[in-house]
Amino acid sequence: MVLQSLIDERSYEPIAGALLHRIVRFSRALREAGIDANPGRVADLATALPLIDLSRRDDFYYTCRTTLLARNDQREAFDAIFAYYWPPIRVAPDEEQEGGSGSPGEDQSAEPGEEGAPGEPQTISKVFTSTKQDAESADQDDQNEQKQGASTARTSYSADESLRDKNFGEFTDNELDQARRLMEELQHKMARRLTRRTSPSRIGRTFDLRRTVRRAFTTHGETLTFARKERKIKPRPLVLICDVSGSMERYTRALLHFLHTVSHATGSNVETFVFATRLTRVTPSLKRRRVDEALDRVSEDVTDWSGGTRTGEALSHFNRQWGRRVLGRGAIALIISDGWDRGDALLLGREMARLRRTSYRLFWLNPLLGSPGYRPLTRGMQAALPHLDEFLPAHNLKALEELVEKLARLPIRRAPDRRGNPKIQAMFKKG
Amino acid sequence: MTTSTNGSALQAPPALDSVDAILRALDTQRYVADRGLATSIYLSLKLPKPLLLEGEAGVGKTEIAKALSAITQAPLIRLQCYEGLDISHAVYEWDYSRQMLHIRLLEATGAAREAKAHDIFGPNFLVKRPLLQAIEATASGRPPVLLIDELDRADDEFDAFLLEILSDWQITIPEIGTVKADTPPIVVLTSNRTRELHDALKRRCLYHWIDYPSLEKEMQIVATKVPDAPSRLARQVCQFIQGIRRHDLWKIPGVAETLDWTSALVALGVAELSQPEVLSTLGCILKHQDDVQRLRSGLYQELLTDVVESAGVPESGVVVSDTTAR
Repeated sequence: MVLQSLIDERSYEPIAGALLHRIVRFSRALREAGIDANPGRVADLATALPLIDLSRRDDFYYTCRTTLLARNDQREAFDAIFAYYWPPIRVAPDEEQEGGSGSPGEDQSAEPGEEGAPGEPQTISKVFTSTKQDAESADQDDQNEQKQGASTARTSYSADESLRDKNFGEFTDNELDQARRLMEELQHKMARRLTRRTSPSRIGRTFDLRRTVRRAFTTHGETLTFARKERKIKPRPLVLICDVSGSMERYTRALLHFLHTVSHATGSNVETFVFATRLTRVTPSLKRRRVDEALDRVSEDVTDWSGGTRTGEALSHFNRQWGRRVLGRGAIALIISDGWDRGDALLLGREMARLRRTSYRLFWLNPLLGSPGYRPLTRGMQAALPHLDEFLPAHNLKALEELVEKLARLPIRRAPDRRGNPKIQAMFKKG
Repeated sequence: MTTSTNGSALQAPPALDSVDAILRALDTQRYVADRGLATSIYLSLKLPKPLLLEGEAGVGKTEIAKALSAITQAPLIRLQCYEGLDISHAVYEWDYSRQMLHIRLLEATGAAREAKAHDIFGPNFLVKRPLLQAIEATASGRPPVLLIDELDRADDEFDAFLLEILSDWQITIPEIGTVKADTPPIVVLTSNRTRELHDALKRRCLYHWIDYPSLEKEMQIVATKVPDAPSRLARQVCQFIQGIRRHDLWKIPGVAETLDWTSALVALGVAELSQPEVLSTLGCILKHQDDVQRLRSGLYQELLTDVVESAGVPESGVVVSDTTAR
């Protein structure tokens, strides 16, 4: 009705009344779904609407889409909300399949039980709320703390030390909180790279003609000092791909805290993915500053929590969907997994080879590597090993510290100087 | 079916006052667009706002800017982005070596005393880069088309700089003064998503994602761009490519690859995709050794059977509805 009256008048008057109301409500719904339909965009839409033929539903849809939506991966959500607000939606034919396929509900049920997953799909909250065992040990811990109470200040250093060596699998909630503080210290030592952009510098190697000439102005055109410039240094992009399958459960909580800390390192450019049977991008969720909030969001994102592991498939998905988008600019790829893999080992090898070629460095962190006597003999691990630049433990804080040290020591230059890692080769031969 | 470009160049640019007018105008430029894209273009001209185009490689993002420039009969100014792109390559730079030479010459002829600084820092010695060119070109009354290509290749510092230009349309050169655009240029930005663009930048733009075309659209594109391809071959090529896109390859061929391949087959005098020499032309559409191998080991035959089978059905059988596009 409202639409009709607008057409009749053919006026350039801004839209008003029920239509405007509905649009505002529509944009609010979009924002709730995480689509950045901010008031500026809505204003654009309002300006645009009198310009188009409102009797054409498809034009109306496209106008809404082009003004309010700026990310193609949010189109399904956008279409769904659009359909809700303007029910008899008829999207242009070549778009129909977009909305139809892969609705979120379908995906979840598509996961067959043959994975050997635990009997009931483990809810997320379960992973984050401490288990009974945890609670007990936390109690004990509390008592211990009370005993030590008086001398906390004096012993805190050594307390940190013992925490550093403690296996993540045995962490209590309390200890995790303390560990976080130690993790945050790692934020400042990330890998860096040389960019192609220059900035003024006293000691730079390159001569800066532009600034030299401008400086000469102040001395009546006489060049007295030479300005120099050098290439800027920025943090290297980091891509973390973390296994959250059943076998990793003991480590997951602590590792997620680590991922969150790393995501908030100053000026860093970190992309985070988790996988068990399927790959999920959790970068936006981890951007939340408060760790509890961030982890709650992550737990909502992930649907195959503590399921079986299909590393090859997950990496294949990563390589195809995300590799080109996040592995640019000398990114380091870090896989965190115990290597227990139920998927296709051949596929895993192929995808690892691809990952090696598209990243600046490829690291694998294996929590099991910390236990004495562990040998990476599983099929998955053996398939992955030949492609790695580093194979490191990740079972306690000390291991993570070593990782960060390794990252910080990487060259800042562009050319990847990759020699085979003899330690890894030795492990590979043994298998 | 297409108006020759020479013909339209003599006429006044068409009035672009509706989505349909845009579609018609693009058609004269042999650009086959879908309605969604036409709507975005129409609004970006009307509001006016920069148009940000994203999509897989080879779906015609850059072509849009060229077509727009031809339609509006305005110059196309292109800024190709790369990492490290800075003001001296995007906006302006002084031609220092010519300035030095000029000073030496003035000294030699003894004219240095009369020469003033503003001669040396005057327009003669200014090297104008695309953004400044675009702003200056608006003075002619007909806003130019400014194509900022592959913005994702530049670094985020450049996003921030661009943000300022896109909102104010003015550039200050300390030695000369401020140059301001009378009417903003028509701006097309493209990105291949190797980096997420800054949100604030996206906020200033209209956004459109260009998908791979449907089978019908693609056949239409091939017919307009490679007119001498036999329609039977063109149909087979498009069906084959649409089939490939459904498979999980490293690098899925875009429309540009379809056109290359069709031209190559025409040049080789191939009339049927089932001919054996077609195998040696796979390099036109596949750019990864893994993909070529996968096609050679079975997938090629499989796709070919599909194509030949559906081609056996007369005309009506070909119109697999638009929904097959992936």
